[in-house]
Amino acid sequence: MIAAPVDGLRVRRGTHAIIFAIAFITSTGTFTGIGVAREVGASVPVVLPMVMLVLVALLSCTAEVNRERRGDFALMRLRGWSSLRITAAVLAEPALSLTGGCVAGLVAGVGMLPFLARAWLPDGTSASVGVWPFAAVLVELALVAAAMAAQVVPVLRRPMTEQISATERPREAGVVSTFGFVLVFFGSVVGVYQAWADPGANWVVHATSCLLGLAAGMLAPWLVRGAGAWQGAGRRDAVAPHLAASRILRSSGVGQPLMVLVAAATVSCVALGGVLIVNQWAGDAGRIANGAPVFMRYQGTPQQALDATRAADPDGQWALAGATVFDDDRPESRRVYLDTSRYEDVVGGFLDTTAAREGSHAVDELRETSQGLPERPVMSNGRWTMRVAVNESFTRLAELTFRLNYVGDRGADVAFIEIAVPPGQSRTKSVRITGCDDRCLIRSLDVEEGRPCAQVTKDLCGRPKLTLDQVEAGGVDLTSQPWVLEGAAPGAAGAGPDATDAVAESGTLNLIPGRLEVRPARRGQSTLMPPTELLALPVLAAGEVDWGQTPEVKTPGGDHRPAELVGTYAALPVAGAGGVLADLATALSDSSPAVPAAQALILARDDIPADVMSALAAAGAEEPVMPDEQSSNISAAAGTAGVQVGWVVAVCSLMVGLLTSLVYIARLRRAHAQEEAVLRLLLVPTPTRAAANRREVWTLAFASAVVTCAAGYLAVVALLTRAELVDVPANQPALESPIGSTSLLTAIALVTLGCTLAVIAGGFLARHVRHDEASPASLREGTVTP
Amino acid sequence: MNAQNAGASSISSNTLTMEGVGLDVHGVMLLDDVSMRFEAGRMTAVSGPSGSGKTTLLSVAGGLLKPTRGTASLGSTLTWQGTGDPPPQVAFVLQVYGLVPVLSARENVALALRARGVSLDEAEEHADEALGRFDLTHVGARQVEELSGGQMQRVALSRALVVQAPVVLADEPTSELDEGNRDRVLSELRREADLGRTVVIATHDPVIVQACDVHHALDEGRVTTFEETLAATRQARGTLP
Repeated sequence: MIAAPVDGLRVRRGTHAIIFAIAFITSTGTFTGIGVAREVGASVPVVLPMVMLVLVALLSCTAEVNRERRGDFALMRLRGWSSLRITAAVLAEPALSLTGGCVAGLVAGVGMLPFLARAWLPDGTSASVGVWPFAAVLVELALVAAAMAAQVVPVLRRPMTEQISATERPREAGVVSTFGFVLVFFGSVVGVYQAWADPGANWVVHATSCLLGLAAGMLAPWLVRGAGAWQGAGRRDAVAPHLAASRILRSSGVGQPLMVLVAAATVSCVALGGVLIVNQWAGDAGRIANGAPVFMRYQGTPQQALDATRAADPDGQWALAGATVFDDDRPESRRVYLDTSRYEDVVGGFLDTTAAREGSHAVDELRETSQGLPERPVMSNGRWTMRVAVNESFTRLAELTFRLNYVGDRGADVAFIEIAVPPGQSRTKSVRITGCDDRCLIRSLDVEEGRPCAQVTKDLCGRPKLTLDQVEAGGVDLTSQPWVLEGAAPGAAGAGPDATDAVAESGTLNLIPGRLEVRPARRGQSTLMPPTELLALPVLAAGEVDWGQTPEVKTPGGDHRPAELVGTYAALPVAGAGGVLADLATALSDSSPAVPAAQALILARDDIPADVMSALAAAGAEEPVMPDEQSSNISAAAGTAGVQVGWVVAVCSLMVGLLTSLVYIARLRRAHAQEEAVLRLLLVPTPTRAAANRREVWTLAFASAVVTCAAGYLAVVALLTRAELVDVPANQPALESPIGSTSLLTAIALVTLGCTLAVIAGGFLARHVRHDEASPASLREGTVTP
Repeated sequence: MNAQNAGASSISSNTLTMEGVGLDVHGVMLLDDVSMRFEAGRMTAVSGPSGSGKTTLLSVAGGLLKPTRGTASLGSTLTWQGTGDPPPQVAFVLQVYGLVPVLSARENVALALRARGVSLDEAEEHADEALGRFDLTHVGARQVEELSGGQMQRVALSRALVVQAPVVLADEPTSELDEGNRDRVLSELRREADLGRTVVIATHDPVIVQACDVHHALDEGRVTTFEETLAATRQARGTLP
């Protein structure tokens, strides 16, 4: 019972070795792929295209075995064997090689899984051998067995005359194969539509990649024939081109080896493209998060980091200081401050390949804007003196409180002056200003009149008109400074000397040379502030920042300042795809001491001199962090380990495609040896025969390259750009699959090159026969040609 | 057509001679001390049961196989050229046809001429003529794998005769043919012989044997019979059509 299949394995050992290898590779790939994918909770259907491909590949191989056994089957039928017995005989032989390959593949998979897990899974995660991978391989085996059983039908039903004929003649495509063709084309169209209609359906993307590849592979013979017609057109007078064109145009099996190969290439393009895109994304995200080739946390305040970089690198060539304050994941709560004056020298084009390219370039604009801010008066320790006059028409004693808000050595500080002024008179008061040893910047001046108006009497209760003709604080004459009323509409609050319109809600303010005229707001208090252009902190923004009614940003010390939005970009250095970026020096100039959440940092070039590095380390810089480390962290957060299974799918699919081609190559080689012998019998010169072979192979290679590249490109455009490959963490750049991206083009180019080289190698292998193999004497007796 | 002229130029050098030819393959003796002379202008039949060595004999005679012992020569030139390719003076009709499956019947025939340097137009014109000799003009454009066995056999004959080689070695050239076509084939081969060519036919068909001028019988690689046939007698009398 077992002897006949074993004999068959021995006789057809070449084909069965290929079936064994395909089964081995597929089992290993499926087992490890599903094992890794399940461990990281990734999409299991990532191995689906490989399984589909293998189904077709193994069917092609077993069909080839059946073709070789055509005569055996004819004998079985002539001997009157029952259909069941013939079926068993047909299936037993490939089943042995198939099962052997699967078992060996499972063993290899169990052995390889820990290694792959170690390479791809986040640290500390190990892949356990579960039931699922075994089940998947068994299902795969069952599918192949069922499909093989279906192949018995033509064996039993093929006309006996054809089965016993010494000459195998080309057959028209049957109903089943035609239906299969239609199904593949229709399935690929529906799959592409579904992928676009429902981008989240990853299994559709995976399955369609194989269908699309098979559809392209089915078109390959037509393309090959077209290329053959083109290369042979008008060349009938030359023997070599004519022979090559005839072989390409008329051989029944021409392009057949390309079908599975093209399908495998397409699956590989999508799988490999996915892996490369995700890896590139993680790499880019790591670069963006790092901000520069070297990232160092700094043990100290942002100001100290700024001072340290300026001390260690006075020329600003190697390092810049920065700070991050990430309160939460909302973009407006993620603030990054960098010393933009050094950005170009230190960071330069480091982020040019990333999504932060434009944001990085905009830092220069941010620097210019920050440096172009008007100078604000700097207050020092001393006295704050106020002389206030109240208008005569005011009917009561004005009980006034003035509050001077400033930022100094202690951060935000405030000084008070309380003064009561009778109508028509003036009073002067002075207090001491402290905390301005270094310098202070005035934030605002609150003017409060003791009694707020009730809503019902608001039109009756007057507000005093205050004339401040002497306001000097720490050496700064505040009457000569520009002021605006907080909350007043721009230009409506008496911002100029001629402005007289009373805006009761926010009060009024007249700026008259040498004095300020203020009428406090109904609520009792008005706040005089420097104009926004003086206070504003220029920022770059990334992501959907919720600015509220007026753009506002916090300093490293948590002080609110109006934000001047320089531009919004897809991503910004260090901040990523969500956050704001401001100049550190500008932000610190008007900031309270940094909040505890502020993380000072230093960015540096990777060629930073050792002495500069040592100086920074001595000043408090921690261990350097490289972009790769950031990438690893982001990859772990995004769960990219599951995508790495794409490597398994890509490599296994390509190997399956190549192995399947080998099955055909063996047959083509036999046919070519006979044809070569005939040509030698006819005295066709060796150079002519060689030229014909070369032309044929190059035409096949050309067609293969075109169809592989086109199918890969189409699959990537139609499918990969619609797949959700990873869960992008908050505020990381979006994972996009632009077809022009280097990763995708690289994947397509690599796969196309590999397939083309394989076709060239296989083509010449099939046509390279030993001199004695193709001897005319070999035609004496034996297989009838054709 | 230079090849044809060259082939017919020297009838005296067209005699194919085998002297003491022996051939051993893997210790098995396929031919043993075979000496024969295939005269130009005559049809020679080589007969014998299956496995007697007929095809092997033609292969050695035509230069496809190197004899282990003895020589096969055409005129004064050995047919074995050291490569396994036949000399240009020899045309084969193979038992297995030996057609190029991807070419049409006409292209198969024309290819034999084009391999000898004949231009495309001329080759196709002669190919059509050659196919016409075997009533195959109507299938000239068809790919040979679409033809029946008998048609393929006649295409192989057309191809062998179109080059007008001085020596034609035909291995079972009528095995797939009906009586009418067999007669046509014999008639065409006779025409070749009458043109001074050496025609050798390996066959086990007695009718073919009777139609030839000379008959060698082989058994287990040895010559067992040599006879002038009735055809030779009738030809001598001038009564053979």
